This record gives sequence, C-alpha cells and structure tokens, in this order.
Amino acid sequence: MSSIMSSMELWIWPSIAMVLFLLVFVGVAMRVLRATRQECEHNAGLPLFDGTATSLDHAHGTDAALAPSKKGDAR
Amino acid sequence: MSHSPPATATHPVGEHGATPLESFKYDDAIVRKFVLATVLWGIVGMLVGLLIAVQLALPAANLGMEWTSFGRLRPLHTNAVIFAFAGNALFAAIYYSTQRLCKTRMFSDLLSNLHFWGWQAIIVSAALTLPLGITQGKEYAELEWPIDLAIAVVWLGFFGTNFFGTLAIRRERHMYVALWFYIATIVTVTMLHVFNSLAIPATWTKSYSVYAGVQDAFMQWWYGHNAVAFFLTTPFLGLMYYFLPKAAEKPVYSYRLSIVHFWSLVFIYIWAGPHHLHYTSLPAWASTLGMLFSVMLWMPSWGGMINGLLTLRGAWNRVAVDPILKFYVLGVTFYGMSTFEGPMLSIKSVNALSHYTDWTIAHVHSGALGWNGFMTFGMVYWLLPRLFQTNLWSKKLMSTHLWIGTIGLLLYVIPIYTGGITQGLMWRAFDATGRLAYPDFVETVTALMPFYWLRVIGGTLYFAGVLLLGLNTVMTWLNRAKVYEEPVVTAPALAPRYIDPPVPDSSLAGNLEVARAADSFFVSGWFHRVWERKPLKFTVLAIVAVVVASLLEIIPTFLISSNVPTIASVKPYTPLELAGREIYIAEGCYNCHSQMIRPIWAETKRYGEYSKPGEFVYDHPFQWGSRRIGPDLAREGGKQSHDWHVRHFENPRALNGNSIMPSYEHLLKQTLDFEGIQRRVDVMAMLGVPYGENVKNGKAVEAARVQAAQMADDLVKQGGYKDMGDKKVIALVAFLQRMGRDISQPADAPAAPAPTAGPVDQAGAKSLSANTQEAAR
Repeated sequence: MSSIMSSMELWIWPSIAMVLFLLVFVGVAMRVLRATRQECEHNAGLPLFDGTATSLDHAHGTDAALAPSKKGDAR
Repeated sequence: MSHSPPATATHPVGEHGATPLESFKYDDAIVRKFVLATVLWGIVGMLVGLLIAVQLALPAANLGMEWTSFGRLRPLHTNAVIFAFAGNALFAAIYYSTQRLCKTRMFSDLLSNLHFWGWQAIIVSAALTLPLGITQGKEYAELEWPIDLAIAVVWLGFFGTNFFGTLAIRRERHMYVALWFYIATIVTVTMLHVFNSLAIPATWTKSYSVYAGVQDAFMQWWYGHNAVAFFLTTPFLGLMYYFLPKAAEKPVYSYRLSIVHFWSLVFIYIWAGPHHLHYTSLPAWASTLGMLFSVMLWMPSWGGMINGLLTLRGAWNRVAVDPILKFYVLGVTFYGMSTFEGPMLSIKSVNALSHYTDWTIAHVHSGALGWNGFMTFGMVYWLLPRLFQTNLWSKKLMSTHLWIGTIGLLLYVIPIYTGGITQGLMWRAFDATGRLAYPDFVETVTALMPFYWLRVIGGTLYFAGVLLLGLNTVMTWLNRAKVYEEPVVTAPALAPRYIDPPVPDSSLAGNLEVARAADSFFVSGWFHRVWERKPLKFTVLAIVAVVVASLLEIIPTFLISSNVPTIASVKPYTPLELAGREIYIAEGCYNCHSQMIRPIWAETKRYGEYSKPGEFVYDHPFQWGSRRIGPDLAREGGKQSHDWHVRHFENPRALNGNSIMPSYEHLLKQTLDFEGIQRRVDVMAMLGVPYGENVKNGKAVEAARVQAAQMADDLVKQGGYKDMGDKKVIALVAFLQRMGRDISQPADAPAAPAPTAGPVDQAGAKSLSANTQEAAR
C-alpha cells in the first residue's frame, strides 16, 4: 500500500478533495434552492413552538398563546 | 404538532396511522446541574488562566511550588476552560434544546446523570493529575490513558447513547438544524479523541503515543484544530440556532442558509488542521491543502455569523435594552472576527510571522472569550430564571457583567495582538550588517512585559465579570422555587409510517431516463429533505463527510514514504535521555519552548540548521510545541555545559535577570526513578523504536545509571554541584544535551552521548555564577 501511494503523484489528493467539496456544495445548494417557503418557515419556527415559553412571562409552563403569526418570515 | 405536506387523494403523504396525544415532562434537573457546573468551572478555569497570565509578568507568582508552575498549570487552564467550562455549557445547551426540539424527555435519566457525574469526575481527575505532571504532552489532549478511556465511555457511551436515543423517540419528524450540529459534534469528537489518543501504557500514569514525529504532529493538530471546530464551534452554533431565536422571539433569519452553513462548515473544517504546522517538517502538500481549506472556511463561517445577526432583524430595539441579546450579538460578532482572522492566519506568509507568537494567543482568546464565553453567558442568563423558576437576582449585575466583560476582553486581546506582532517582528529583525537585531531571545521577552501587564488587567476585568455571573447564579439559586413546577407537555407520537411526498418530476425533456431520474432525485434536493428526518442516515452522512476528508489527508501522510525521509545518523534516545524527555513532558516545557526550527532565515540564523522530518522518527510523542515564550530548543544539545543547565534549572534569574522561566529547583532534589526506566524503554521498543539488546532485559537501568554517573562526574569537573548522579535534573540535562545533535553525527556513530564539555569549559571553565549575563541566552 505504501509503495502504491508513494508512486502516485501528490496533486491527486488535493484534487480529489476539491472535487468532493464541489459535489457536496452543489448538492446542498440545489437542496436549499428547491426548498419551499412553507417548509422553511415550518423548520425555522421549531425552536419557538417547542411546548415551552419563550417570554419570561410564560416561563413556568407551556405557551399555547404563541401563535404562528409570530413566526416571522423565514427564508 | 408535526407538520406534513398536504395529502392528496392520489398520493397520501405524511404521518400515517392515528397517534394519540402523549403527555410528558422535560428533564430540566439535568440542565440545572450542567448550568451550575458551567459557572463553577468557568470561575476555576479562568482563575487558573489569570494566575498563569500573572506568572508571565511576574514569575514569582508561581508560588515557588512545582505544582503551580506555568508548564503544569497552562494545560490545566486550557482543559478547564475548554472541557469543563465550555463542555458543561454545551451539554446544558444540548440537554435543554434537544428535549424541546424533539418534543420528548431525554432517552434515559440514568444516562443523563451518569454523563453529568462522569464528566465532573473526569474534570476533577484532570485537575488532580495535570498539576502533578501526569500528562501525555499533547496540547488539549494531555490527560493520561485511564482518563482518556473514561472520556470515551462518558462521551459516547453515556452522552452519545442518550442523545441518539432521544432522537429515536422524538415526536417531531423534522430534525432542526441545531440537532445537525449536535450530531456532527458527537460523532466527530468521538473520532478525534479515539484516534489521537491511541497510546501504549507504560504505567497507570504514563503512556506513549503510538504515533511519532511528523505523523504524531499531524494527528495532534488534526485533533487540536478540530477540537476547536467540533467542541467549541459546532455545538455553540447549535446553541446559537436555538437560543438566539428563543431570546429574540424570532425564527432564524434563513433556514436555507443554515443548511448550506452546516454542510460547508462540517465538510471544510475537518481539512484545515495542517495550517497549524506551516513551515514545519510536515509535508508541504498537506500544509498547503490545510491552508486552502482554511481560506475556504471563511465563507461558511460568515454565513453562520450573518444568519445569527440577521435573526435580530426588526428586534434591534430589544437588543438595546436586553443584555442577553447583547451577549449574543457580541458573541456572534466575535465569532465573525475570529473566523476571519483564522483563515488569514492560515495563509503561509502571514503564519510565518504569527506562528509561535502571542498573536495566536490573542486570536484564540478573542474566539474563546468572545464567542464561547459570551454565548455561554447569554444562554446561562436566559436559562437561570427558567430553570430556577424565579426572577434573575439582579439584571443590573448582568448588565455590569456584559460591559466589564467586554472591556476586559478588549483590554486582553488588543495588547496581546500588539505584543504578538511585536514579538514576531523582533524575532525576524536584522540590522544593516545582516545580523539579528535582537540576538538575545530574552530581549523579545522583556519587550512584551507592558503587554503582559495590560493583559493581566484585561483578564482580571473579564474574570470579575464571571464572578458577577457566579454571584447572580448563587443568589438566583437561593431564591429558587421551593418545589420546581414540572409542566406537562403534550404532543402526538410520530406515526409508525411516514410516506414521503413523491419525487418531483424532472423538468428535463429529451434526455436519458437516468438524467431525468437524477434531476428529480438530486437536483430537486428531495434526497436531503428525506435525510433531515432520518437520524441514522444523517449521522452516517456526517461521519462520511468528516472521515473521507480525514482519510484523504491522513493516509497519504502516513503511507507516502517520501513524507518522512529517514536519516541514518538519527538514533533512539538512550534510556537516561528517555527518562529526561519524560521529565520535559511532565514539566510542560512544550508550553513555552518549541522544538521545530522552520526553514526561515531569521530562525536558522538564531537557532541553527532547520528541522528535518527524519529527526523525529523516535519522538513518541512529538514535542514541536506551538509557542515560544522561551527560545526554540531543537538544537540545544551541546550549546551549554551541564553546569549551566543545572544552575539554570535551579534559578533561571541567577543566570539571566530578565528570564521569566520558573525555577525547577525540585529537580535538583528529587531522585530519579531508575527502576522505572526499563518499562519505558520496553514500550518504546514495542512501538518500533530500534533499541538493541544492550538496553533490553533489564539492561536499560544499568545503562542509565552509567550515563548518569558519567554526567555527574562531568558536572563536577565543570565546577558544578556534587551528588547529582541520581537526581532528576541529570536525566533532563542528558535529554537537552542530546537535542538536535544526531543530524551532525556520522551515520555509523553510536547514539550521540551528552557532551562532556560545554562552551563554558572550552572557554576556560569560567565560573557561571560570576558570569551570569554572559552565559544567558
């Protein structure tokens, strides 16, 4: 194994690294570009609607009063 | 609670099967414990940091005790603030947010408590062993093998199992982005810790890294850099993505950006470690690769920063009056500044100046105190009233903490930036005749004194802020509810079946079927959308991202023979030198002295021939260091007499009034454990160090005694102390006298012995005590 790798050109390793990164980046970019607004808003709002209070006024219990209208515009 | 895409008559999607509402309670008791531990260890860790900062300006502050010297306390400081303070903070964040994002209690209360108490036991073990000099000598991975094993069990066995078990029983189908960061944290830290810590034990308190020299350096900084990445960055980004929206009462600015942020960061960060080893003996290709990925890292890092700051859009009026949001704004801003500076420092030409200087220390502290510190403080202040179900004791004190911490932080980092750059410029300065402008290293130390004092003031202010947090925490805790209310939360269980929406039709026309299928599957992003609700697949992908990147750097570094050309004249350390090297490691000398001369003119001029990879093949572990509070020691062998070294260890300021090195007088009094040397030699032989029959089967002890006796005789001849032959100092001097000399020996020479006469003898056996300044470096 050492002999095989020692006989290979060094440039191949950074080249593989760059290709892998580009593939991952393109894949992720495609995923986010195709995401719907509705999906993003739902996902972005998860911390705010987790069954516990955000505001200190409601710190001791569930906070059903938090309505979806408070979500804001997730991108 | 769970949202699903709308069902259609032809293809019903989403949750299938009626699930009743289930009632449950979150486990906030465990979060309370982690929050209290965060505050406690924050105070301890920063107090130790302040003490060693004072020691740099005032060496007498080491209290004259071996346990409180800089070399032993610095690892305690770094371990305490990273693994105790930041560690407990990230656990508090993860335990609080994971339950809520998954709408379930943690998988196992027992595992939660085993995790908490196990982690605290590890911290206490570190606090006891590091001052005793029990260390592996690898930065941020100093803890010895029994503690390393405990870390693996607690981290993965207790914490990891509990976390992934919680994901498995969650009631929210989609995994929020904070959970992705937590997943990456758990799997990557496990991998880093296990592979970097591989070692062969010699005793219960001593082990030797299975890697040596260049490979060990590579593994160590692959670990060290990614410990910053996956212990101090990704979990805190998870914290940011959860707690910042909570405090601002607004959703994260862009969920799309968070997806790009996550994958780009995880994929790129893991490659960047070699930038810690520019111009060293690491192969240049690996170093350059590390630099390139470090520069690329700037973009995802700033994507995260922008996402954090823009989450506050429309809420800046609240920032003006809410110290918690101010903490977050400052924390995220410092994240942005640090992640700009990091890639800049990774550029080779910048690194040539900054490496080994206090510039790196300033960079680290701007990130640690600004990003990790302020994000933690913001989270703790937000949690305190919620966890203890009472009002925060003093909002005014919280606000005071914010300002005193900010001023302290600036007063800390600005002088150290200035000092670091000054240091680097002085090291490389030449006069008009081509000679070093500051040939005496201590001149560059003296020049930093004003900056060291300013840092002490800044650090004191920052620490005072943490004390205010401690006071606020204690007082809030004292006013806690008599009985904690445990709200009952309801959520439907996930349906046993979930049908994904159909794969979107491809918009391609006139193409091959396979292209249309690929377009539907990949280009639509459908594949990732599915993974985001499948913990196992997501975890596997995160592992693949970090493993592939790691292997592409590690395998060539280990297997390409040209990376570490051997040098025929480089021989293993003698048993006595090996024992001396162990003392060097135990005293933490690597915290102040490098053993790596870079191929830079100013360095070869000051220290001698630049270091070659083949010189370190028997170094388990490597000791290249990362900082030069004192001079490089790679070519120290033969530069001074034994007597000079012994007296220098006894009282450095007797030889050089401006030295800030601690006294190691105890080494002149403590007896060397000769009998233990054999075990160490045997382990090194097991690791492949070619020790001959002369030092096997019990002969190592005899060989060490012979060499020690010879050196003790030489010491007396040089006008030095008598009866040093069985003292620790003689072994350490033997090691120092060997350093960097093999390369100049003939290939068939035996292991270079410690010189019998140093420069002082050659000059006519001058009395060292009478010529202190002349002998000083």
